[in-house]
Amino acid sequence: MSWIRTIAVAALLFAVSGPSFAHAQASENFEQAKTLFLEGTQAAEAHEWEKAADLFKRSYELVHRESSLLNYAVSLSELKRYVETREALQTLLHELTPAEDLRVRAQALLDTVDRKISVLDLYGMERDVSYDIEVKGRKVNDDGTRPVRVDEDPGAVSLRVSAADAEEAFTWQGTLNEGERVRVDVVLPGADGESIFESPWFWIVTGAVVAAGAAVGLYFILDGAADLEPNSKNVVNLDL
Amino acid sequence: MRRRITAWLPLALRIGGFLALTGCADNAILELEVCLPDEVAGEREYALVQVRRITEDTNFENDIPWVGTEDQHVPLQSIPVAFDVSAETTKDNIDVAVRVSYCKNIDCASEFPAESRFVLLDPYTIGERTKATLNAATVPSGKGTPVEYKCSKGRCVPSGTGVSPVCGQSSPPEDAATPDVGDSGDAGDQTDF
Repeated sequence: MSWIRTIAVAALLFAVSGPSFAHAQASENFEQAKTLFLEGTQAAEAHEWEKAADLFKRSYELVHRESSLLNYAVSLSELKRYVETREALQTLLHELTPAEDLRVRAQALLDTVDRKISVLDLYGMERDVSYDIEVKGRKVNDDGTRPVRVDEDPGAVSLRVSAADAEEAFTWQGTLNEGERVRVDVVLPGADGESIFESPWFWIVTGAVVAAGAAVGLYFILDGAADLEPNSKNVVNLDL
Repeated sequence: MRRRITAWLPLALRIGGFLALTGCADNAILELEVCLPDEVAGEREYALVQVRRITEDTNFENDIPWVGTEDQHVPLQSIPVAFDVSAETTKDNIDVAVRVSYCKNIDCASEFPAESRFVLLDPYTIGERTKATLNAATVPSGKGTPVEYKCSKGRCVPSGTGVSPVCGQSSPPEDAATPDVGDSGDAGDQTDF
């Protein structure tokens, strides 16, 4: 298990860098964070990933050490919580300054979970309407991008979309495989932003335009066709 | 939504029907049947039928161009035949002159010694077809006196008799329709042919 090795390396780094950090901080937080970190390492070695994730997270919250965050990400990954794993790794890579070894391992893990994250593409939602989107009970921010993209962990998923003026919410349930991308067409009866094709006015105006165009075309066709045709092949035109 | 589309269908049909009824012709056609004489070898072998609008009285001599069968002179046959010409216009309230010349040669280049002349008064009604039979089977000795036709209800008949001639007959058929236009003049007016 390569990620166990990652945790071991991170633990070593935590321990090696500990004294200077302790000297700098000289606080109880450091000792507590270190204790939590070591307990998290033991939990990880025992494959108790829920416990390990909790301990690493608490350690990181006390002291923002790159090693704590990486181990937290590894634990989340083992729990197949890929979306949270990615968030933790992006924080590590972009907001902290990990050592080269940690950075390489973090990037490798990020590449792996990126391929495992499933995606829901939500179609049928208007740009100028604000929606409340919930995935597995968790609110998803609607930034106006259409279609709405929701990154989700594989497994059973429940979706609920509602709008202020919608008569009822749209719900959807399904199961996502690792890395799968699924399109969901959201239909919200009565919402202000309902599709233009759902609007009776669209069809009324379209019908009127089509009828008018057909009428004009028909008029010219009939008008031209109504002209008298000479009976004889010998024709003289007196207008010339 | 299907209900709404279905609701438009009767309206569309009404519009189409209305347009179909209001579509009308912009032209009018005078269908001329010209009775031609038989061929006389070396004397008359072709005929030239020409038509034009009348703009100054019934002057057949002015320079207003004629239109007709210049490109294809009508070869006369061993027996009298009828020759059909359709004269088309988009103008209403005009009179029409018709002349039939008899030629020795196909080019009809020389001056025509004999010519039958006809004047048709107001033969056109826009959107309608009018028929007239012109008796040019009797060849005049020179420029014939124009025979006047009056037109009404799609038919033109000689003013004098009110009876339309029939090609191949020297006189109108016995069952000719009762004239509905024209003066009850002397039938002898037609003998100029």
